[in-house]
Amino acid sequence: MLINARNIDDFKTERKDLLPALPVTYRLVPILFYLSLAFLAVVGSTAMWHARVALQRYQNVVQATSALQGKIDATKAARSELEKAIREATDLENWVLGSMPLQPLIVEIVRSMDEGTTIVDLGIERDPETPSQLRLSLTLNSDSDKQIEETMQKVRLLDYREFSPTQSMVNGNYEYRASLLWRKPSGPMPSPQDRAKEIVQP
Amino acid sequence: MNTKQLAAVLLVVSIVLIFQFGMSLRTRATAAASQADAAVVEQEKLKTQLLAEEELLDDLRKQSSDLTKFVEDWEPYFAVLEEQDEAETTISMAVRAADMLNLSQRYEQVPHTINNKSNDSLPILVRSSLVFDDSYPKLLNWMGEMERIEPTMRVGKVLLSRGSRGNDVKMELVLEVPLRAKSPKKK
Repeated sequence: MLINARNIDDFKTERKDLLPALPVTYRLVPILFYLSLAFLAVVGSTAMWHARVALQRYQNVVQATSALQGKIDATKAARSELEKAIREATDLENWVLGSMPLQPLIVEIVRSMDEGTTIVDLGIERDPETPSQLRLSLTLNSDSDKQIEETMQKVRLLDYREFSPTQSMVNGNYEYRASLLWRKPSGPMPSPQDRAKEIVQP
Repeated sequence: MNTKQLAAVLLVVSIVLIFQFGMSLRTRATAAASQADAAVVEQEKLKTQLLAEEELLDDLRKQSSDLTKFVEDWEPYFAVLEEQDEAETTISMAVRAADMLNLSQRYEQVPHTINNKSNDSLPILVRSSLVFDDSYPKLLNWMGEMERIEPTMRVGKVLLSRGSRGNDVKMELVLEVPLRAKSPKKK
């Protein structure tokens, strides 16, 4: 159905503005509105892009940090394990160094006796707290006490050093008491084979 | 307030809200960047810490290399706790095989302490108290042989005195065998 153009114009008849016009400065409001939209578009998209990049960087760093933390924990665990092994090794070393054979010492003491001197008794006791320290008790039937000095000279050659010596005469015998401290000879630590070589024939 | 003024106010409020929203996006981006920067700083700290830990571990390995080598040589000779019966048997068999007059033998297991502190690595000692009465060479040979074949065994006490016959010697001997808390490597 065709409608006459004049009739359509009738719908848009001129109307009188009922409200008073806004002040001129109010014209800035829509301009500012469009500017704010532009601001949001530029600043917002830039900010969102920066935020996304930063988040990506953060996630990468967190991942790397997590891997680093794992390495640190593993290194710490390895160190702790090594320290435990060192403690145990030190205990074993202390035992080995404090368990030097006594047979060579006894043989050397007996060999050092001159003719006419007899050993009434000979005792060597290891100090349980300081195993490299020995308590020597020697009772001799001898003409003179020079024998004791000669014996101790031989003992010193075996890397023992005596201290707190006491000497007395009981029932016609010389009684000698001393503590012997074994000094580990310089050089490499002894192996089980080296230790076996220290044993001598009586 | 008429509708024109109301529309203008609404637009102004919209402008403010849009501006605030834009600024909040910018603040959020700045916060994310700061968080990433902080994480990078933390990562650098961890890198330094890892370097220090690795250096510490290397130093410890270098310092303990001699000790480790020493213990590797000796470790197989240490009996373990599970072998305590074996330790006693070894000594008692050696006593029987010695063909010497054995007056007494006693075995006991005692805790290994130093300064009243338990030794965690070698917690138990098998202590053998033996008394022999025989010739001096046989006794000292046997004692030397025991110290040779059991290098970790130690003589805790030895007392030589006149024996009951002729030139025989009475030997009171205390042997101590340490037992390890864990299995050693094979010999």
